[in-house]
Amino acid sequence: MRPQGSWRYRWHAALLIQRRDLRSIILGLSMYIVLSLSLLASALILRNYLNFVNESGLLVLSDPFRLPFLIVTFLFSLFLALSSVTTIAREKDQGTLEVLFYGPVDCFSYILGKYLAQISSYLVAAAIYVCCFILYADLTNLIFPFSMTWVIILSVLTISAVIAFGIFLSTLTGTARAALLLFLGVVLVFVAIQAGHEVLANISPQGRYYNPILFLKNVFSFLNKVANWLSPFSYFNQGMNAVRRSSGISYLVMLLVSAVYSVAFLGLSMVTLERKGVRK
Amino acid sequence: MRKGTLCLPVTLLLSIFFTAAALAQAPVKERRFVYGVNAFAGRDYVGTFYPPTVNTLYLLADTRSIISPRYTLLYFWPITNEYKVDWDSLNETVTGTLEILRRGKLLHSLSQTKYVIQHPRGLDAGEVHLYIGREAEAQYQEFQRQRQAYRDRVWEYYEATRRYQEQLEEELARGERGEEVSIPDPPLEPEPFMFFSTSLNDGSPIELPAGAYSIRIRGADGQIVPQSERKLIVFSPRREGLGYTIIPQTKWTTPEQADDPSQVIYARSGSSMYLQPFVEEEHNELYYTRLAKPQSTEGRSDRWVWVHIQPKDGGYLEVLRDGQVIGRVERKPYWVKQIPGPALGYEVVEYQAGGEGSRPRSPDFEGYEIRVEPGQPSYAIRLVEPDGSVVVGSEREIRLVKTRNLWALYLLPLLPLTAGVSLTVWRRGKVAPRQDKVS
Amino acid sequence: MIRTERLCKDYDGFAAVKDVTLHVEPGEIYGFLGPNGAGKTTIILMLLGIEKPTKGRIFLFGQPLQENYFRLKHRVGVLGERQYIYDDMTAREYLRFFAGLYQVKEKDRRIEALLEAVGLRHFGEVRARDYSRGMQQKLGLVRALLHDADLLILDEPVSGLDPHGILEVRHLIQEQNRRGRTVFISSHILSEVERTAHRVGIIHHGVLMAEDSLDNLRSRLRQQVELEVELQEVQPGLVESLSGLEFVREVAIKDNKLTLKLDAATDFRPQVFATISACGGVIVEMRTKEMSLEEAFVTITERNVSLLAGSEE
Repeated sequence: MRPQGSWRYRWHAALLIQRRDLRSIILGLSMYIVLSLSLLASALILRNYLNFVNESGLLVLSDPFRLPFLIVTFLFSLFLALSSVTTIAREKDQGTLEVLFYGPVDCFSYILGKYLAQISSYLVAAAIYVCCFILYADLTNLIFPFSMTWVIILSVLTISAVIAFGIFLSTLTGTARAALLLFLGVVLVFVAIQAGHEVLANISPQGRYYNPILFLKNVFSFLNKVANWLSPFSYFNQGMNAVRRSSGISYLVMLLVSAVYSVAFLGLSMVTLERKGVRK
Repeated sequence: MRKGTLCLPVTLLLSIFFTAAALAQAPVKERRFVYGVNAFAGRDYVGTFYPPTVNTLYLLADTRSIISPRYTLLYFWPITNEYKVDWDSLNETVTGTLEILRRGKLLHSLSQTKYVIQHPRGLDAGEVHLYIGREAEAQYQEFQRQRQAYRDRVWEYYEATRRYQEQLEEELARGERGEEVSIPDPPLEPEPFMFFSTSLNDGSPIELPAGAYSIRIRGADGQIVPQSERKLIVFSPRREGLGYTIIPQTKWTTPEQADDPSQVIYARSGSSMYLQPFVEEEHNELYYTRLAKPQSTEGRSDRWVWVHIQPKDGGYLEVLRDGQVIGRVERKPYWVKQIPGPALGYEVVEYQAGGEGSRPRSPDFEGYEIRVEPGQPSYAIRLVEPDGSVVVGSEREIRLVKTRNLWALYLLPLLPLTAGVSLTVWRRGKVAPRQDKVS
Repeated sequence: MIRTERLCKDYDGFAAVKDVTLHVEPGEIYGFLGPNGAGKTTIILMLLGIEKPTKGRIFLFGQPLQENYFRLKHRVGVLGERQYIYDDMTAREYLRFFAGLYQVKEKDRRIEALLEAVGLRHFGEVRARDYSRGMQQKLGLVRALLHDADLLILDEPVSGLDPHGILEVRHLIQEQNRRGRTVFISSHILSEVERTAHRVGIIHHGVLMAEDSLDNLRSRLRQQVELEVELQEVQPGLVESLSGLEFVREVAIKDNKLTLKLDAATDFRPQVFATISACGGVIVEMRTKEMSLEEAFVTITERNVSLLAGSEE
């Protein structure tokens, strides 16, 4: 049973944990390395566009910054996924989790604090990305359209889903290494399902090897649909499709689904942490 | 060499041989029920068929298409990994009515009628007509009459040519004899016969609003014909608009498309491009792909694709800067002039009718020329009708890319790393040095 | 201050804590003793809400823990058995973080005062992970004391400390107690508990074997008393006279000192005095040697059940 208590204490503890973790991320070097690498990748993409215009004289694009933003968001989400996957497991491994729970901290405030720290670091990164892209736009005269605002808002919620998923995985294990292995395993499964689905989708269902291939195709199609719901990495793609199609309803649906996903996995994390305990 | 060592390569060779032999065998053809469909695809009709393995038919909404149930010889063609039909060997009309249902409720019951699809000005001219019933018969007869007239003209031309040749020979002989020579005019070749028509066939014309339906054939005996029950998706475009095919002067054989209104045209300073406007519709990629190729595995239901329906004729292009009209461009024909000599290249020149010297008989393309002047970061263009009204969806922005000081693109990514390293160094300086473990 | 009612904890069928009912009075120092694996840490974790009891109830400050979790936690300061420190924080940052968590007023002043008290003020900007074990122990104690808690739960508070450090900590604990704080100490160092605790609880195999003041515990377990008598000189026949007394079990003599082992049932010192006087002996000093806590602990844990059951009857 979750201990009853003042929400004021919970929020206070959550904000303190958030501040501590955010400080740790900001003072670490990893975040800056990821920022630099991802900006470099986006610079290469933009340079590629400009080279194409130089050679062909012409390039038609809706949002030249959509692909760069996708790249930077993906790379940073990978960083945040790894960070959130190890955050709780590492504290448990080090024993500092137990020390924290000597005090007025419960699972709710702890998980919330962890989540807020990760999402705050993304907001900082997103602000840096937007500033850099605006500078890139000025340097190159490639347009940074207002519609990117929707993409940025989308990215916050879909990254939130990634973080919540990572935190949940972190509560399942007792050590940072086990958490990392679990995360890699899960990602590999998602990738394998998607790859299998893509390969089988290109095989005509009417092939001479009808029955087994069709069966496999149906299985992978079903698994792919499940994976698209379970894997937080797919939400950003789906949301981007909605933006590309200018489909407001689909966009709002993706925002809502991402938010629900985040809440669900954060809730699961709290329950798991309560059941597994905070001891090393 | 040991026996075991030989087994594997021998086995491999045999398996390859037998596989090849199997593939080389004639495909097995079976009499099966299929739906032959002439589906309207926005600009023209696409003739396809739906084998029993394809469960869903796709048609455009509020347009007339033809569904023809048939028995034919169906076989699997492994080279292209698809089913094919042998219409020549068997093309048996299935008697019965086409029933269209929605949510289990019968909406329509359609009989088959005669139909014909015709392109009076040729397959690529963009004009197509579907005629049904008596009108189909009449139009087909008209086609036959015109075709016959063309054949007669061709025959007359051949006769005239033969006579011309004979006359030429006579005149040559007279010339050799020193007599007065009169060279006759060569006969004029008749204009090519561009009129294309399908033969008169049987089918059920179908025109439905967008939605999901099911279809089946009820035979003359009142029973549902086996394998005739299918789903039918009728879809309409999500948007309509005006798109452009853009021919860059430097690569005229590889045009770009600017179909989506959100697209921006990026160009190099001093470059030229030729715009060709098209009326277009935006369709669901999966539905549209399956409409044209029912057995295709391509196309995704969460993607949309712009389809050019027909060229947009008439009107002029306005060029704007900061919302003000600064120029007007008329549509003109152009031809590609190859630069003679060792320096390979070409230039695009405005076509003048009359065709002299190296000029071709007809222009290579038509379009609106836009020349991107240096110094201006962006322009906008839009198509205006002759009556002065702006064509909706025709606006596009043209921006000049900057190609100087691009090293700064690579400088920016260094800034976060620099900040991170500085913070790390600052932190190290703030924290006291490590103490050896002394209590 | 702390009260448990039939507290039980099972781990996959293994009963780590069985029916423990203990109580800690406000303002006392309660020593909690037991060998490794007895269940001490499990009980402490249940008191803190970190482990959930399988059965039983816990009351802190007279209230069920779960009903007022945050307010109660604010009133408890905890020093764990091992010190777990955040890798990237200096000692001051570490303490500021916990001071913030407990909403300590004037936290910088409080931190400095406590660091000074444990001799760590000059090491405040060193990374806490670089501290020696003893320094980390002190840092943990400072963390427990930061928010001026009403109840201190200290698990092995002097572990890893040198004698000087042990003294510092002992004084700190006693100082806190003098100010009215209740202290719950779990320790293996019985001599330290003996010096500071008012009452002790002894746990073994998950069962609370005994809970009483030190004196009562000793007297319950005492079967014989050792009396040391220093005489001016040992009169002839004195030893035989004393050995002949029915309540004297053993008499040993070394120089002018007699060591008598007497039955513990009654205070036989007057009879001893009379016998010595009758023999003409002059008593320089007479002293009763108390059973140490260690002896009591060993007695209880090795000869526990029947002994305590018999003594309780």
